[in-house]
Amino acid sequence: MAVAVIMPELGESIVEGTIVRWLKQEGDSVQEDEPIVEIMTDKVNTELPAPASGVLQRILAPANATVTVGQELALIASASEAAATPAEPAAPAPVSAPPPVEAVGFYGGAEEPAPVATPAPAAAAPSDGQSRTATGQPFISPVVSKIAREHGISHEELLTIPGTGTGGRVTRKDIEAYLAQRKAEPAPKPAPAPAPPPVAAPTPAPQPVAPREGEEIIPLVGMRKVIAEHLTKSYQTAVHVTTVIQVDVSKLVEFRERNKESFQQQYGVRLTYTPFFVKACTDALLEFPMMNATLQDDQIIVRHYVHMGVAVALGEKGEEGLIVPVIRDAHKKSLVDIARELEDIAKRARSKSISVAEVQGATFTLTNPGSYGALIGTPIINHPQTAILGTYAIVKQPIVIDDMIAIRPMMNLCLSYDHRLIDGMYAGRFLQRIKRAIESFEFFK
Amino acid sequence: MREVTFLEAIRLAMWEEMERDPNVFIIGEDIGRMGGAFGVTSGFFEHFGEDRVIDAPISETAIIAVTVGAAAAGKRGIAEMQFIDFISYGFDQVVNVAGTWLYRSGGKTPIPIVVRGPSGGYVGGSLYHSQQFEAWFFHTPGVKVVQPAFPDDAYGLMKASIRDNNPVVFYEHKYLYRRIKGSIPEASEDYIVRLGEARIRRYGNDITVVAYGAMVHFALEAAQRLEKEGISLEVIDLRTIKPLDMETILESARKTSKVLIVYEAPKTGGVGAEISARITEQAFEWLDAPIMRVAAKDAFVPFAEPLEKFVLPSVDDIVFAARELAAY
Repeated sequence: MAVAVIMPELGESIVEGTIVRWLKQEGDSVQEDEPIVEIMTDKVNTELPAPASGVLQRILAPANATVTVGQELALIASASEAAATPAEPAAPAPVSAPPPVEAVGFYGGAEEPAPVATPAPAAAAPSDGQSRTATGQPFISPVVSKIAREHGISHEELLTIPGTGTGGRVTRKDIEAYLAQRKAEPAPKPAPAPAPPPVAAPTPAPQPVAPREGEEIIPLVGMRKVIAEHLTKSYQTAVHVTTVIQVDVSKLVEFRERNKESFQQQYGVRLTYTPFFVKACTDALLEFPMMNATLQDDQIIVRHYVHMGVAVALGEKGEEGLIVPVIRDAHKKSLVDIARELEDIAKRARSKSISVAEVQGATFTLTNPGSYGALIGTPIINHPQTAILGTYAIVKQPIVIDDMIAIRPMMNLCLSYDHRLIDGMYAGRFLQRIKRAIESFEFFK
Repeated sequence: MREVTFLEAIRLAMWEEMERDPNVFIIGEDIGRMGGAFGVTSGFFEHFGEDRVIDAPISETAIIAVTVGAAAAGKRGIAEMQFIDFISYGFDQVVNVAGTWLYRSGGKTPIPIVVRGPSGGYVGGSLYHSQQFEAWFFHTPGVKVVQPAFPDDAYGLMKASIRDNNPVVFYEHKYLYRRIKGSIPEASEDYIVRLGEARIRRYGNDITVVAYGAMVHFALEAAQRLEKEGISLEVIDLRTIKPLDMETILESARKTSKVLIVYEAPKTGGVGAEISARITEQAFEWLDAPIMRVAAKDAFVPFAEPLEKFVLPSVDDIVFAARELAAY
């Protein structure tokens, strides 16, 4: 009986992931616990081990497919079973089939089987901008298919042609230009001579961009790819708006100057400004829970607890990306606890010894562009959260107090929020709440 | 060559055919002494007399029936619908009587009639004076359907329709009547445009646009605009809607691999659906994009100008659809 490879729960808030690539192909033999597929979630890429030894009989979710927790990704047959069954992959057994395949149903098999190779060519209506089939493969139009056939262009070669159509689709003009160029080249290259790396479902091949002088080409992979997709999703989903407020941080600066050495001695932790911001922000979130919410479909999930994400840049110049470790239950923690935890997770984030769980589940995010001198900015919300607070550089400025000019250390707080959920006044009041906490310095009451 | 309006081209074609063939006569409402609601038969009554230019009572059934009966007796009648919308009253005469007669008579009795009249919108004519119901007769066996876009075609096609031995429904777009001018051959040249032949009015490489009637002019304007964006449209003027010149359409579709069909009638169940289906059947392998249609909304043509504009297809609609196809 075949064993199903099930999409596991990879973290508390993770409900789906994307198949990056299959490390094993249909027909390959696999050992139990051997990594067989790479899955990307909101936070991290992870490799999934085989649940049993045997032969990878059938891949149900091809590369690029989005899969939900509990979904079947593949079937692994025992070696003897694989030998007995013909090589032809059996169609996914329908629920009502009399000899039920045990593995058919995490959901009782009523779910549509993952569309493995549904030929849905012209399903793409141009107004939808779709040019991909249900399997996520690029749509090959009839005329492109015909020209490819007539000129002996393989499917793999076809996928390497740069496409200018919707979604990178290869148009008739593209393939004709390609043929003209191929013809112009003196010796036609033996097209797919070196065995192409085994790719499960041919992912849209990256267009081979030739670097010009003074350029280099870096493939978009790993953390950068995840960040790129994550931010794009956020920017396309949330209605971003940023509100800025100026805070007089005299008391905060004074306190830190006066206590940083004793604090270090007493608690063994460096005293920075961040724990104060985490604390002020956390308290404000409890009073303004909509800032701490998530809009999911037609429901608003409002939290009365705070998991505070704190952005940590990686690399000396920030060239190694960014990660957002989470201070869990920040509302239950003291300033000292927060300071201690911050130092710990920041250090481990930089040394890349942080676990998936530690970067998940934040309900709000704090970012500190002030650390590199930034004065003002418009942070992008950490999807699917509702708001992000940026703390900017502390600069001494002349300000007017009681009609007198004074010199005070001032700081901008920039709050980007999802305008679908949060109106301007609510955001303003939220910021005022934080401002008051910092200016009156009510941390040790 | 003579420089004439679209309307004048039709008038001259009928005039010359009546001069040429004494069997040709015309019947309709107010076409005699008044010269027709749009003046298409202006001067006919005085020149050809009341036996050949017949003022009819307000009954489209009778008007068409007279031409059918006369045709069975050897005449060639032209039935004018004051507005082609009212052809619905004579529907049975066209579909069940004229259309079937040759078949019913075992091929012995042709019914050479032309049922003609002003069609189409863009003039604020509203419900009964704006419609394009060519699809009804496109669907009917035994009937030919013609709709010219330019004076030379209107002239040549009208002559061919009068001489044709089948019932022909001839759509004259009223928006074009006096707006479009062009030259037509001298009467002595005996010029006709054979039915069933489309004409490419503009050559292009990126997208084939199939249109007829006023939509040809819209498509040509869209083509001019899109040329600046580097999108090249090939505009086919069907001229005869039935029989359909699939050869010209298919040849162009094979060249461009992208087809946009433009018609003024409601989109659903229109001529565009048939053209699209035939291209798919006969040239599927040549397509690089879905075949698209620009047509009127599935609604009546309202009176108010903004509403009429909303319902009927526009040059912008064609431009947008063509851009979408070009980018596909």
